Amino acid sequence: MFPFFGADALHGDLADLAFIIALVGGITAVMAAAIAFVQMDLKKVLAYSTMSQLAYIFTGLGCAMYLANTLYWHEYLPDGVKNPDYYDNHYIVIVAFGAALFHLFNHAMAKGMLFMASGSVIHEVHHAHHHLHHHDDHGEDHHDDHHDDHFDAQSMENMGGLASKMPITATAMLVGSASIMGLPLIGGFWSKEGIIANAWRVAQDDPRFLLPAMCVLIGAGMTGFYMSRMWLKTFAGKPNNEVAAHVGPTNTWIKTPLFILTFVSLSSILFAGMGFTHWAPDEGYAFMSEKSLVDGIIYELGHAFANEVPYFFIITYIAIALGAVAGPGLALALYGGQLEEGESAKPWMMPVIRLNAWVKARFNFDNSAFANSTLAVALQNRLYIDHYYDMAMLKIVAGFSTKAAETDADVIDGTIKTIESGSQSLSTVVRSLTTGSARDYILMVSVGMLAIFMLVWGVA
Amino acid sequence: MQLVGFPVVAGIVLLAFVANAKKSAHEKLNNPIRMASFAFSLALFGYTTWMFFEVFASIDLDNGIIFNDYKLYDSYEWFPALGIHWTVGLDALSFPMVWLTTFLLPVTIIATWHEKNGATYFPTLLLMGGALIGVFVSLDLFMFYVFWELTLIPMFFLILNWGGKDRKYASQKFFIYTFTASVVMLLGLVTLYLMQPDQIGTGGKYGTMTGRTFDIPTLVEAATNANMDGWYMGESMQKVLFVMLMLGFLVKLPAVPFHTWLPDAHVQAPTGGSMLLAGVMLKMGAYGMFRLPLSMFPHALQHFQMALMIFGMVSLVWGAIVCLGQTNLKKMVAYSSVSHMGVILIGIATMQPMGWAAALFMMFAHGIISPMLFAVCGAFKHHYHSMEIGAMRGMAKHSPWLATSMMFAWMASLGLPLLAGFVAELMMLIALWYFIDLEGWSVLWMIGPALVLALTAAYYLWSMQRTIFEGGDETQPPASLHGDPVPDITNEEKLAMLILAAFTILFGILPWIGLDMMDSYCRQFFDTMISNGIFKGGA
Repeated sequence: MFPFFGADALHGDLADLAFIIALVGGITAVMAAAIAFVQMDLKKVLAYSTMSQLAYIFTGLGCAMYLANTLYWHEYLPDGVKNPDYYDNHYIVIVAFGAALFHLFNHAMAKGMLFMASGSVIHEVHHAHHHLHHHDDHGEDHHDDHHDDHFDAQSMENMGGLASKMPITATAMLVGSASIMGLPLIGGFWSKEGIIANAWRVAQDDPRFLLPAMCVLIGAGMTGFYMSRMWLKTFAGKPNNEVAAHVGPTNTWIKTPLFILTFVSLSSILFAGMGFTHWAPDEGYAFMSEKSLVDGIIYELGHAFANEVPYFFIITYIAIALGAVAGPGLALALYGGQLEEGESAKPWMMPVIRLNAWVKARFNFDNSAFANSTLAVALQNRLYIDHYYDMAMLKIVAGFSTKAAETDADVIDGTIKTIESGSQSLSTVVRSLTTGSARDYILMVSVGMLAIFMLVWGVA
Repeated sequence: MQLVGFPVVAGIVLLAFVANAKKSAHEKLNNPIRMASFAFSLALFGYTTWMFFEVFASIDLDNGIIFNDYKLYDSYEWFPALGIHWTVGLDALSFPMVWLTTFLLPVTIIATWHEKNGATYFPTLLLMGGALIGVFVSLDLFMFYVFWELTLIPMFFLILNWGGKDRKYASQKFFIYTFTASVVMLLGLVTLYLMQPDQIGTGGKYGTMTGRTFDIPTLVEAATNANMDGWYMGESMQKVLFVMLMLGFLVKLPAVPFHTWLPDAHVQAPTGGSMLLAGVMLKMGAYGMFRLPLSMFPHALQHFQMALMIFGMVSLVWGAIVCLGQTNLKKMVAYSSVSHMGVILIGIATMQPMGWAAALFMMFAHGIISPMLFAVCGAFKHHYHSMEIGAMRGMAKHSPWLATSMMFAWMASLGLPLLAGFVAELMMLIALWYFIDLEGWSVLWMIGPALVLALTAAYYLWSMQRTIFEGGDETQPPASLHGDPVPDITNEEKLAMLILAAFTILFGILPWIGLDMMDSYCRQFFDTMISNGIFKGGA
């Protein structure tokens, strides 16, 4: 991230590079979100979500870099005159970088909490499985799918309906998911809206940026879908199997950090109101100077939901519609449902579950055509990227190095061995001259003497 | 000087003592001889460590003379008519190597505490150490060559008597290969003696009959001063001498394509032999370069700079690629030594003070890390009866000490920050970058080292993954044991590993202990060459 704040990146002529950065970010955001759609492993969903959200940060930084390189944001023009657009341009650039950095902050808080909570869930599922397995030995009940080698405590196949059993974890993950999705007023909403708005602001100047701008907008809806899917498959509906039915409450010690991070995620608006996205602007910013936190919050709210510029107003509501209504709505219709008879979650989670049950009953549809399509299989296999890496490493690199090792032994060492055997056979030939017979030696001496005489005579 | 004489004499005395004893008594002699050798090597280590604090820690590195100035200097006439003297002395080049040798001797004895036929094994190690110290302390070409060849003899017997299956082939190959190269070097030394300007009547170290000298400080002094006017001994003669001397040292280093004796020797050598071979004996090549051709023929060095750079790059990259394709753990470690010796050559070829300091520190750091690598390999051979990568998958569960040692040594060798190897590698990269920047060479020259950073991590991590992790069924011992009980390393091996690891960390965190004097030496060398007008400034 530091290169983005280097002198070259801020003052150069790098609009093309900024486009590449934003494009890579946009494509990664959509691709990772698509892979997260179909993963069954709880932590893999979160990992691909991380990839997608970091790509958002990248897109935001690319757009900010574009703005920094195209807008003249210095206080003085090159000829020393005060820049008339200084405040406007400086503000735009700083807020663009601020949005990306604020997303980093929000994502760190929410995703840290989500991973911690998911660890808690997996721990309890594993524990429940062991508990059941222990009973198996005494012949109480036996299920083939509980066998040690096949059981995967991270798979959402072994969860479902945990909202009533792990209320604290479920609440924390609900808030974390909402923050990642960009549900209005919570955590990531403030920064994600900023990134999307900046991408579209740049797209106004440079039509190439329409592609990353579309990507981050669509990605918002996809995030809404896969985060909702993860929560619903884990916590809503009926337990998928025996193990899920036997899960116990969360470990006590993990609750404190979950509380803290949940609070930070919920209160992101405070940080936004404090001017986190503005990077503590100096004097001259009428909208921020000497205003209280409440004023800041009101400014942020007005800026987000009642923007004077119709273009951004529309973008904001499209993003909300996709990320907070369409995506989650689709997930509600497909996954989860009513809890087991007699089980009940905490009152603040019941509306979600009731809504889920209602949407699922009202709009239920069959998605098996998509679930079995080639695309879904490819996504389940993570687009075969790991597969190709493995192939490249094992076939090409390892194969090449094996050949190199053979060459080393055959050619380089072989040359040495040839010299060695050559000198050996040469010495064998030379050795045969020393026959030990006096006649041979006398013959050699005579021939040698004759040769020397001839040579001397010839020279003379 | 005591430092050379004692281990050689002690080794010979102990060997003679053993040889004199009845064959049946050898078994009983193992323990006393081992204890005597160990106590002696420990005393030697104490002596060099004392020497560091007493002499080398107090050198004025900023203002004192370091280049061509020797501490603990001692000189006796030997053959004054020919200009041969028994001259010993230590400077920033040789002292780290001498300390390293005396440090490795007791560690090697600890690591191979239970070696068979200990009564002859441990004195041979002492003899080896004495010959190595002799190479490093000699300041006379004649003496240097005598000790240079003397190192071959104990190593030959170490491989032949305590080696693996193909030990006869390996020991002879090792001997003949390096000896052939040494003969070329000897020709170079004799030519250097004969072709130097006649100095009859000037006294000093010059022979009273020949008017020529074998004395290294005198030759370096003469070469450095003569170089002000032009090439010492003429351009073509200097080039020929440079090539002849370098050939001997490049084989010893070893640089690709003269490296194939090394894997064979290492795979067949016993653990102790490998530890000394990789730890100190390879460094003789680099040390010899610094001591003779680089100091005496700077003009030729500039002329052959590109060739050295190519040798270094090829060794670095080829060694790493071949490592990845090895199936034998010890062979892989041997090839990694070839790759690391390429770092030394590149450091020299950059002709930057930092590059030279990197090369010197690489000699030192590799001298601590590679014995640990070979100690781990030896432990595998000893306890798991196999060195095939993949034959003992999942042994981390069975031998936690061995697995930890392996991981540490592997990480140290691949250049993990805060461990000694990283310092040298980083300095080499920076020096190479300076060099490329200064000369205006293509940035593509950085691709080799950058590629090797990845390759080194690849072959080390991959071999580790297939050795200590990834067991198919962790409840079953590795197949190579044929059902024998699963062992871990002995307490002596643990101690040796701990000592080596501790010093790797020490010189990774506080590299300046040794680096400061190397750095000052190199800077002073380049300052001298620049003020004599041989090198252009700005480096």
